[in-house]
Amino acid sequence: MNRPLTSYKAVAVAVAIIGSLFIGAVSCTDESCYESLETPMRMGVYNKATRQPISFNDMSIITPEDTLSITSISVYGIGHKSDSAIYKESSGVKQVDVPLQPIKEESAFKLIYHLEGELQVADTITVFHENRPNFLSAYCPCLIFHHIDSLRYTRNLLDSIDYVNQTITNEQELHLILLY
Amino acid sequence: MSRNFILYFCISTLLLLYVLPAEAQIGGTFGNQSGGGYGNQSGQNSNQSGQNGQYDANREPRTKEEEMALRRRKDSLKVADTIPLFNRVLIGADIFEPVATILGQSYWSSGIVIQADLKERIMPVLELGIGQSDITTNAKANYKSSKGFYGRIGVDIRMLGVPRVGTISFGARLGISSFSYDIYNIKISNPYWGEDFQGDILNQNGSASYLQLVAGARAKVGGCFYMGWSARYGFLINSSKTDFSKPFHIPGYGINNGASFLSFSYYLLFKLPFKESAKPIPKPKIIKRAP
Repeated sequence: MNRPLTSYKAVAVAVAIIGSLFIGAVSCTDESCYESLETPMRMGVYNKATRQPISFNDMSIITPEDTLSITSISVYGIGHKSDSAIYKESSGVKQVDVPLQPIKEESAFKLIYHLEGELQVADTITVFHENRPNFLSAYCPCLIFHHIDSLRYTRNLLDSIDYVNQTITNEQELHLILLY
Repeated sequence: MSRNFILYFCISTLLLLYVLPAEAQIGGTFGNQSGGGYGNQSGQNSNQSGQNGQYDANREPRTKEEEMALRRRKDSLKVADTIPLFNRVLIGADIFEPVATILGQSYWSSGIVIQADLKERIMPVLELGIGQSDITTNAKANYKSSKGFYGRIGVDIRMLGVPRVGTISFGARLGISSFSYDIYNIKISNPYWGEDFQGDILNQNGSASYLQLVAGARAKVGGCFYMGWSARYGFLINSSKTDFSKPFHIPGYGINNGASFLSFSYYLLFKLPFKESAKPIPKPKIIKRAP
């Protein structure tokens, strides 16, 4: 018994249409970059006694004459050509994100605390690190990942720095905690 | 991928699939012998046994001897299964991506495919091949891989058609790949420090495993030659990463830019000369019931 030809024609046309859709889909590959393209070193601000996160505005400096609060902070990269600020008189800051040098293996930052009465105190943090280029995808630019080897810092207001994660990628994680 | 290539490919696929049922109609074999014919014979058998043993509500219940005699009669009317377990072997090559690279695609995978035919329904398949890429990235770097290897094993299930004429099938593949690659001319700019990094990432080795869902069609062109195509929807199970990179092109899978990738294959196949299973189905022996 022969099956009617028309039913097979319908199957053939349906399969050809589906095949054509597949071919069209293959030609339309998604060329978007889904990766984060920032690799900052992230430093959290913590209370040394309680080891809880705080804001710079929560801190005060007790002097023989007065108690002064921190109104804002500024952060500059030392050696930057045009002295451009990473943070300029920013208030309510709970964490500081700074970019490390892509070629040199040493990056230094000046952290200025703006107090009431236009007074300023500053600390300097120097980071010694390794740089590593990283390829994510042909649709994304390459990035520089870092590994923190050691730190050197002043202790004018800053008490100490602890490591959380010494490898800096584009994962937007916490790397250091600044203890006050 | 070139639009003209897609257009010509669609036309040729349509012609190929039109030829499939047309040839079957001329040959009178599509779905007749082992497929529909076997089913028809079984249908006749069940009609016959139905005529001989139709249910009659007024009939007295059968005795044990009558039941056994009826069962023996049914067994004698059954048609023997003439389809052997191991039917045919096809061997061929995947030519889609090598042709696509001629038209501008910057990566390819190609290899041999060996497919067996069990009971004209289940078709286990083994695919072995190589792949290569030479891709200029959006950031103008150059991703270049040497010939990596892949192996895929899986099974297709025939849904429509007769294997000796043409089939439409669905299946799955499990694949593994091993490859190496280099990335040249990397430039990374840092807008804050104003310094640009330039360099290469060399001697990267990678491996990956993946699962692919496959839908395809295959038709006999003439003699022992077949042509077919398949669409594959792949999912990465595991992909290696080095300290400096993660692979972008995986031979046998495609582009690693997300959880899945859709790819396409086109095969030229040759049937190895094993004996065909097309034996004529014997006529059922009709036993007349004693009056």
